[in-house]
Amino acid sequence: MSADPFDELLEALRCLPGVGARSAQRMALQLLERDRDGGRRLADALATAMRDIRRCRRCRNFTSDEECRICRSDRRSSEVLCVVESPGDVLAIEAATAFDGRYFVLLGRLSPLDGIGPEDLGLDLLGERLDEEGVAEIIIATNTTVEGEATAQYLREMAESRSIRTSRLAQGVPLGGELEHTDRSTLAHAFSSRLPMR
Amino acid sequence: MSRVEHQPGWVVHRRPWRETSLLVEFFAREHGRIGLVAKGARSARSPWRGLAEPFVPLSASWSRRGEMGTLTGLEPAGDRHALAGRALWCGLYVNELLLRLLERDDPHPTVFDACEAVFRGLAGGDEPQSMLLRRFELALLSGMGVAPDFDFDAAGGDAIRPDGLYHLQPEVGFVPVERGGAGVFRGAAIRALAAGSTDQRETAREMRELMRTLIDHHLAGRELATRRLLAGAKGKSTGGSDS
Repeated sequence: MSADPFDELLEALRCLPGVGARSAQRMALQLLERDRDGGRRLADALATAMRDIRRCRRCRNFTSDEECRICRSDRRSSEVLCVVESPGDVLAIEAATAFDGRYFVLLGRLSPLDGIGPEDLGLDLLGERLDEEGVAEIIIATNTTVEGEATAQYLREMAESRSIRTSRLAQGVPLGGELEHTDRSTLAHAFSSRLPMR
Repeated sequence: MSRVEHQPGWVVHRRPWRETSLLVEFFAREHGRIGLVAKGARSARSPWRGLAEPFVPLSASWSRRGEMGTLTGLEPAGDRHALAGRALWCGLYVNELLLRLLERDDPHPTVFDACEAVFRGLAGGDEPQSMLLRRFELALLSGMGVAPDFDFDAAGGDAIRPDGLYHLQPEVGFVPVERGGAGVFRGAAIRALAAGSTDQRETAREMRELMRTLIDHHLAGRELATRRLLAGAKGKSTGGSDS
């Protein structure tokens, strides 16, 4: 006996983050009752994306080509390389800044207690790029979790052994934030690494 | 069902669980290592967000029925020990030792206090990281009740002489020998470890080797990922931090 297609769809939708039994049912009914075209488009787009999207061979970001758009562009500087944990971080930095260097996406972070080591993050590939591309500065933009900081230290040692400058994203009070409502670790860090006013 | 209120402790490790929760390995002073579910701790509005992190002195409350407990309260009990760079790796090494060597539900208040000391020392940066780690390792093994006698030898019960040579047998102790070789250590290194002395450059390597022999014995073949990280990282190390 084959599974009911409707139940299959509900089960499949639940692989999405934030989607439980109720939202899956709502989504499925919306597509079936009111938007069959939208459903077909979604199915096609999903199939194509799952088939064609892979990792860029230079920066490990997602792309449908050998190399991603940013790595291929000749308008971007090869001197500054920004290292991030996830493709979402690239999107966030692209949207928020005028950064014109290139990226390297770790697709994870060092987490020795979970058995995730340097070899799992493509750091040998990063090492090759550092040796070959004349990178002058690495911007370390890993998260400010314990694992993100452990990764930052590893990147720093990789860069220093090649005499490459490193910088780390500043950490502090959010813009428009009120001190009173800033969490205590962030505030302590912001206080101890305060900057002269310019 | 048991309830525990306001216990001092550390997060040894935590892993994402389901959509917004965390599975936390918590090391409580009076309860030892326990597994706790922190429901919703990763959601944007959770007061626990960003708090269930290693190296933060915490006060936790939980209820429990069976193997895993459920976190019901979590507050900072002091300032986060700001471990940076290699000191952070050393801190992770300490946590990995706790995770691999301590049984769950086995209280170790002296080990708990040694954690506080090693994190404080690593954040302060005044003492060599190697010495801080050696002192912690010894406190851990002593707390577990498996440290050999560092004052008297295991043959005749004579005091360990600084100029003597001793073969370390993890289950027995230090046995005096005539000649050096694998697993043989100088009395001076053994004495320095026992005294927790901080300025022992010439015996540092030997002390590391000695503690490693003991720890490996109790790991029974399991490897430490943080040790590989500390040993294998590329580039110029700041020195003396290796585990």
